[in-house]
Amino acid sequence: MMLDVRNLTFSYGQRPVLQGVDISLKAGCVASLLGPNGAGKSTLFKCILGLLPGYTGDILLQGEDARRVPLKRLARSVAYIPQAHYPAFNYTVLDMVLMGTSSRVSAFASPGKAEVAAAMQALDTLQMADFAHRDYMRISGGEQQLALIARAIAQHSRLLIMDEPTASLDWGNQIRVMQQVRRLSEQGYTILQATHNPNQAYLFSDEILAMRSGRIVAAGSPRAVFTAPLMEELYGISAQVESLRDDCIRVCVPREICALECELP
Amino acid sequence: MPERRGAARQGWKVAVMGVLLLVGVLLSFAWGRYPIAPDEVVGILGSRVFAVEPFWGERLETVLINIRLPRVLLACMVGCSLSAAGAAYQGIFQNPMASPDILGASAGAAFGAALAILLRAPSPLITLSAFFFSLLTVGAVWLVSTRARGKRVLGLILSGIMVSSLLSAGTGFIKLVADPADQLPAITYWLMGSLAGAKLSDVAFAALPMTIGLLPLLLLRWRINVLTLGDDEARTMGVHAGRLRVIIVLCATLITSAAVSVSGTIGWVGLVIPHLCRMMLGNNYRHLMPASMLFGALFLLLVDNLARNLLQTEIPIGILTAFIGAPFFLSLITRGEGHG
Repeated sequence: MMLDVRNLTFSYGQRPVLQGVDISLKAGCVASLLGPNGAGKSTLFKCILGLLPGYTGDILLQGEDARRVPLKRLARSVAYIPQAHYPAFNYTVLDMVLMGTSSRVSAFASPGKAEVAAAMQALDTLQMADFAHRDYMRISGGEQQLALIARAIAQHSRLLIMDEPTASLDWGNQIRVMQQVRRLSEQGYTILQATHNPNQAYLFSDEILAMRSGRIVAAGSPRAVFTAPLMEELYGISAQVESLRDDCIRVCVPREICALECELP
Repeated sequence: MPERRGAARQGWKVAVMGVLLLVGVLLSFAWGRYPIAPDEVVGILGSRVFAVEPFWGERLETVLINIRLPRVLLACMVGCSLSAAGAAYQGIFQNPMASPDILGASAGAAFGAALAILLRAPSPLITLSAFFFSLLTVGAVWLVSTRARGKRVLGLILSGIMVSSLLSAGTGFIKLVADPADQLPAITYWLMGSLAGAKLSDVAFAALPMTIGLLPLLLLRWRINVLTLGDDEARTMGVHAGRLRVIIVLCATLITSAAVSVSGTIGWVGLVIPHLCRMMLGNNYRHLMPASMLFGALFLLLVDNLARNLLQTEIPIGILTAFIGAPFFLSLITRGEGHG
């Protein structure tokens, strides 16, 4: 197993955020984590990334207790891909990707030839090599997201944690980014992404995890998990899930609005 | 490969700055009320190491070694330190508006100097008191911020502002009770910042803390890039963000305190020079940090040349840097496109 989370519990002070979370991900799978705002998705990610040490339960990375892994080595087994954001300072795309190699560079040195080669290769993997010398702040949101994914690839981690990678992107860029995510999983990368788009989760993932109030309420193949009752449980909106194209695509629609506007059955 | 070429070009720019600084230093030795010809400069300096038959007046040698040399060295050291500290603070606070006095180093030094002048301490003690209070102030700011709720960086900046204003009030009170005949003007001149009367002992005093502070900043410069992305992101890339920030703050504070205690409060250098370097070389600290150090030294050296040569009477350098810094900053914020 690439990632094994066992009975993970975490509280901010008195407020419990994660209550006995169990997850296990095989190498090379794309898992989408669905859940309303405040369900604990970000906290779960922070625990896996070693940013919140005060949890109980176990997080195993390829069988090894994450608590015992020092920061540098942790960075080489799991990488974090944040939502595309504006950093305080503008860097070239190459510099941005090079930062992913920091765990392999001594504290007193700057990245050298080997790191530049790794960064260029990572950009190439995402078909972003032409962007290496562009300003990160002057490329589109979709390209920024791909650059951040390239940074994680340059980090040489096999498990990629993505926090709503497509949340701020237009529809075209959402698809482009998700296609790249699929390609990476075919190359053996394991991806755990949080998303607020259940349709996309159904189309692009091997597994859907549904989280509510700090608990995993459903987990499994998209066909088994993505149902109207689950959507209603997660988001508190009466929902209907439509199946299209021989169940290759499922679309979740709000039932009440549709009943009013479109005379849904 | 184009990616190597980009880095090499920035490296060249840094090298050019180094050469300019060397030329600037040699010219500054020559320029002054008593002009010294370049061959005489080289001869006098060379005579300290090699046996050179003196072909210059003894008076020129005294001027060069006892007056001009310490002043030129100090201008370079102070400019280098303030600029490097500004660049470092901007990075760790993820804020292009940060300057070396953000954690109260200047306000603390001003208070320490004013207090020493009030107590009629001799000149070396004034410097020492400024240095001591400067470090003490930043230490207090750090302590207060660890107890502040909310975001760590915001807590640091806010407590920096508060402790600074508290100390400024203290300095104001000292000015009120100081003897208006001699103490008050002395305090006022100190606050304006000046390198006039720089002595070799000042150079010796500042050299150690500056070396101790500047070296780690230079060595850790790539890591500062990673820190500008925020603590969480830095940690997921294997960089100990909290530990690194402590080291950088310690180093930046040490060099700021050393600079301010020998020169008085010289504003703007730490804000404007790193910005100029960002425009010329980009934001990557790999080149930005050495460029800021060299260009800061060059800038303050040039301004100090103006300060001592422009008018019959010496102009406090702090006033000149503000005269140059403020208009520059205005042009920066009205450029339309944010370059930060």
